[in-house]
Amino acid sequence: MLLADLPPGQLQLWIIVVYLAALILLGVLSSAAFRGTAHDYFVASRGVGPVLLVLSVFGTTMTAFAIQGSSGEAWVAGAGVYGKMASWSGIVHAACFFLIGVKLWTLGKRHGYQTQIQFFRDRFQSSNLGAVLFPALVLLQTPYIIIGIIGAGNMIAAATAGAFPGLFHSESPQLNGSIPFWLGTLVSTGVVWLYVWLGGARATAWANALQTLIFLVVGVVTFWVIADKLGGAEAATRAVQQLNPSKLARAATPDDERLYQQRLAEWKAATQPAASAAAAAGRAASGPAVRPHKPRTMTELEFLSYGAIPLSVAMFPHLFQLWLTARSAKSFRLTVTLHPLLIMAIWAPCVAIGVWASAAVMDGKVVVPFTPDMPNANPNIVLGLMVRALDAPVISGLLAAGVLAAILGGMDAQFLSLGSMFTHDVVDHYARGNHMTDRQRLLTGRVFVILVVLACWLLTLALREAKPIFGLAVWCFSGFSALFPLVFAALYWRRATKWGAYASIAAGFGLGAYYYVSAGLAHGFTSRIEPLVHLPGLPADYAVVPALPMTIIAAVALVLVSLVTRPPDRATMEKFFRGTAATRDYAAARN
Amino acid sequence: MRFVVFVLLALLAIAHQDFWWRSDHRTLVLGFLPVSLAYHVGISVAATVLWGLACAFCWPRELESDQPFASRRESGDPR
Repeated sequence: MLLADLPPGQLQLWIIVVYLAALILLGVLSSAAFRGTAHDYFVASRGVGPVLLVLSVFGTTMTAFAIQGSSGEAWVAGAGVYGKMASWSGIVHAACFFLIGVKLWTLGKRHGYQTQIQFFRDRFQSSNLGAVLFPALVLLQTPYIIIGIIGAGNMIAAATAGAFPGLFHSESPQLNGSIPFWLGTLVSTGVVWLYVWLGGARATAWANALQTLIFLVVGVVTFWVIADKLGGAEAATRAVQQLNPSKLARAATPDDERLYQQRLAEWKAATQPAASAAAAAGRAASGPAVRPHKPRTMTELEFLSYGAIPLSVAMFPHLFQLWLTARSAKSFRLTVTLHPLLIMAIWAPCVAIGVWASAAVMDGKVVVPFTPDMPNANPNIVLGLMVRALDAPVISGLLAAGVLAAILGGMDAQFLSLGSMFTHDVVDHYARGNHMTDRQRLLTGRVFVILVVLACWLLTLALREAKPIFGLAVWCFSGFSALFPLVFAALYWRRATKWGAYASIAAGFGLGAYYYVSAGLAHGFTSRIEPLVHLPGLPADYAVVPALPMTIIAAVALVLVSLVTRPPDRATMEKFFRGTAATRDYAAARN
Repeated sequence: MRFVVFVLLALLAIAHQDFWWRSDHRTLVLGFLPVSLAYHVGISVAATVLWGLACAFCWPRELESDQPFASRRESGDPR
């Protein structure tokens, strides 16, 4: 049978099947290298080299947002999205890897830590700090995982629409015959569980490397094919310049507003001739086929505040897990150096596609039939609409595989890190007094990974239609950012105390909860809450991401409370800051 | 050199705030890239170069000489 003879959606399905089969194959291959110990299962015996580390860290850091979300946000807010998210991330992520990652890896190797909480309990000499941090980290990570599973299920359903019309019926005509949501999510999470089960952290690193290569290639290929279909990159940008020029900058000018009104009138005249003055006068009306977007302005304060979001990577449990797999401190050098370039390679093409989508017409048809201000507008499907308009099933299947790669690339490490936290920070710490054998830890870890996968899948099915989960995931990044002062001070400030740590967590999370509840009461918890907050004393249109004030107040609370509480003891100082003259002086002064 | 690299990184973070092009939608680089987007692609490339320099000149070499921790737990030796 020729590819052209396949029913719609089946070619895409086969591309997805091949991709998932490749992941299982990697799991099988990695199991051949598996040494059968918990140390190998959780941190790959700390044997991952520089190239694998850079690919796996990048694959874990980038979610589906890097492909779908970046295009959608650029379609809404314009090219400025790249600066506020991608180039900030390039600078700040690399800083976190350099300042936090390398140091945590060294301490992890020196003292045998396998989770963040083990480090914090030891550094602040407080078992109860783990009891506070554990639920906080699980609470922040779970919505993040659920969003990924929802994205995977939706992507599989959309890509395979029409594949089995006699087998799977859907209430939505566009999804008739597609792989149902429950099955798509079951298969994708099941595949992730299988290769994590088979090879643990090594399988995760290998799979992430493959997934990074896939979504980098998919992003570039999609960019070129779409540019070609729109008459070339120059023609595509010129079309935006004529219809929605504000999409090419961060701020709208009065000229942009006047042009919008003019283009809107022309569009109405062209699409609703009966109501237009031109038709009434008997003249033929000609105007844009695409409805213009109302110009938007991103304030400089909002643009600046987005720099606080990427601080969250310093406290991602799954990233900590991957850092520990590094063979040496030197392995981090390539990751620190190449990370900004890799972010650019995936974000720049996707942002350009999103900007072009605001004025795109293919084969005489408007590609995106809604504008950002419409109630039914869904920015996340803009890239999918652009690809669908190409009428190229291979590109559509590759895009589905690329988006799945971005989603599953983060999910595997998240499953593993949660399994590790349950094993080490709860069972081993509380039930076995940190004396579990290696075999017990391996078995417990594997069982908990199964339970975490199952719980996340069931929660996904239960919460699929609950809108607050989408808004909540955005706030989770702010929560991780608010923990940045804690990890930074634990590594670099000898005077940081356990009471300072408690105060920092309480202040950061307290402010975040206040912002979330206030926004929920104002806009309704079932609506998608705008992740921007207003600062007292500033004009109403000046807003920032919540991560900025949350991080600042967490830092202030940590410093103030640490300064008025008893400093850490000499043994702790020697353990974590050994060899520095300042440490010796400080310890001498304290005693 | 360490000082120079850290100053350059701080300058890069400041240069990120390109308010001077915030309303410029007319200037296109290579005929298709809005100038602010092209500038931020340049920021990403500059970040790669500067973090590469940081790895070369500011790397915490004392961490590389750290002795590996070889506990029984890590080697998988059951207790």
